[in-house]
Amino acid sequence: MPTVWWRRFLRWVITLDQDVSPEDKKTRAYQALPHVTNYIFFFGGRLRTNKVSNGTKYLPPTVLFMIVVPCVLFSIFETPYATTRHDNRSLIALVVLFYYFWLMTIISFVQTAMSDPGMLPRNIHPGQWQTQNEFSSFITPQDYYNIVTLPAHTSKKNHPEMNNSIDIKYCKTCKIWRPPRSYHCPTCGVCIQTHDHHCIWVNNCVGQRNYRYFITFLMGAISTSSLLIITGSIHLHRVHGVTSRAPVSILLIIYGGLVIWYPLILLLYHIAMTATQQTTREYLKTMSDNSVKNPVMHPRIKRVPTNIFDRGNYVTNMFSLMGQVRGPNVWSPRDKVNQTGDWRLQEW
Amino acid sequence: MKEDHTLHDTATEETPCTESIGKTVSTQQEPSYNAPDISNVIVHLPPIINQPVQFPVYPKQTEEQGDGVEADQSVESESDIPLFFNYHEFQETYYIEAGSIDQGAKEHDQEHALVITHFPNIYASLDSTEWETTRIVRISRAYDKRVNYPCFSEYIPGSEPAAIVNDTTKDKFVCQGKVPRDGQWYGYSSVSPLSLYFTPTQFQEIISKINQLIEEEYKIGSLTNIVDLSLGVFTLGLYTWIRSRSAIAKSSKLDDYIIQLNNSPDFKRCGVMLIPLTRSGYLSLDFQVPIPSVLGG
Repeated sequence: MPTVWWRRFLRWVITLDQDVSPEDKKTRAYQALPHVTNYIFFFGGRLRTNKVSNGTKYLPPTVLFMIVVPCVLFSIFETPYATTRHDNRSLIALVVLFYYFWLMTIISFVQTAMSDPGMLPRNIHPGQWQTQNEFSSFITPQDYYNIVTLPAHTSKKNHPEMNNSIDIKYCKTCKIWRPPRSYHCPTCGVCIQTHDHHCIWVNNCVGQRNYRYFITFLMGAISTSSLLIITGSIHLHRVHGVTSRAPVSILLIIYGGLVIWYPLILLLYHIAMTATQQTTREYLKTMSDNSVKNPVMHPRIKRVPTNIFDRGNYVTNMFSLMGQVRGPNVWSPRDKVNQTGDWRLQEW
Repeated sequence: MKEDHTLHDTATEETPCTESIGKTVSTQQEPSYNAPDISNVIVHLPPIINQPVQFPVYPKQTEEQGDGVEADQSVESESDIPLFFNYHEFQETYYIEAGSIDQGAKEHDQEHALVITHFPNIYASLDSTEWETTRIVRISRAYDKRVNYPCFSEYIPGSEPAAIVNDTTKDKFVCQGKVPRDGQWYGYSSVSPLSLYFTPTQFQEIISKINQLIEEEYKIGSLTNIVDLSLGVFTLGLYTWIRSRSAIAKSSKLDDYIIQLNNSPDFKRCGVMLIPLTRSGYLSLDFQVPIPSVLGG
């Protein structure tokens, strides 16, 4: 029985791991990807999020709420004050800047949370296809369970402690030989290129293809909070500190002062980590190897002498990670696929 | 196991390894790719190996599962730098010998293990003709050239510094045994069916050009990336959105080159096809080749 149009439309708006009707066998990947990953898709695979079942699923809406609320208050109480009174015209530039950075924050939040972090396709490197005993499946050879050490190129010259080698691992879930710095995220159920971390606040991985959005989000949030404090302070100054004449300004100053810290500390950490050519995951691994119980309270992020990705310069290191090329989308949910015949959509 | 990846032909000649590495580097410095033009790509029909290739015979250096302890210290090279090999391949000891098909499959020692050099065509569906008639030879990433972005090995499989070699078959793929598990024919060495279609030089030329095009795509300091990064941030993603829908973003020199290679008469005549890198996720460079078999197999 053909799927009615409104069901198809609903599935286009939100695609969960519901069954695919026979007439939809040749369709786009987003309809089948929820079956083999933990993603759910919106608007025909253009946006995505995770189908998490624990309490962290409330965090992204909370962040969105925390971004929207101050903007609403600002628009009601601060913008009219700055634009209507003739003597406050100098505040207009700050108001414009506030809206610009607020837009930057919310757009980069959506980009970080709902775009592709660098998902790698599945089943590209299966071992053998076993056809014995009327049972067919891929089998993974024992050799693929080894960690393979290969010669590696490094840009750090004449470094005696460098061993110029790299360890490569096979992902037994995705059945691929993972490139360096790629990891399998158990929450998303996929391997991610240059995996930085899985962020519970955005409910998505931060990887090669959305890292720049994540950094932009942090910078935008810091700038917006700063402008809340500055604009509110000027407003308060103009009313000669009479709090009853600008109660919301005080509220916004306090709010800005509170929410600025988390993105600020996070950004400082990312500046330090990228300058030392480390992803969050690599940094936490180093801390774990050094038996550091609380990496957040660790006084200093140091370079790792054996890090083959290190380019020998803080600025170059930082730019090479923050400005890394996003690269092509190698497994787009918008790709047209044959759902029954495409091995990327199968689980073995 | 990898540590049992023993070489049963021990005609050790270390010099060709360094020669072949030097050759690779010099080829990369040749005049760069100008346009997706394959007029200079020559693919001969088999058998085409005109120049005998001296295969280096270093053993593979591997590690045991889980920990980082080296499995076999005796196979370590003098400089402690591991040697490159195609990490996709592995060995199979239970098979039917090509000369004695009637006797059925039996267990062989590690010295006579088959090397699995071609794999199921996962780019074709299970019920398709391609699945039945073609196989995939995977070219692994060359991390000794680049670690930050994809770069593929320019060694034709079997000529890597730590490849498994066979003195009898040397540089040509020969079906030595059939693995009953998947019903496919394999040889005793790392030489893959690609050796039937390309000389090492031709192969190197193709891969070198692909690597060069990938480098152009992934260069951090390129004008495209800097403009994309800065305008993308300051226009609040508008530039990125418009660019992603423009013809510039949809055209890729790399894709064009692969398409033209696949449409070339030589590729078509050989039945060889290069899988687009966006399809394989840049994880390996995959060649689709006709299924290798022997008469009566």
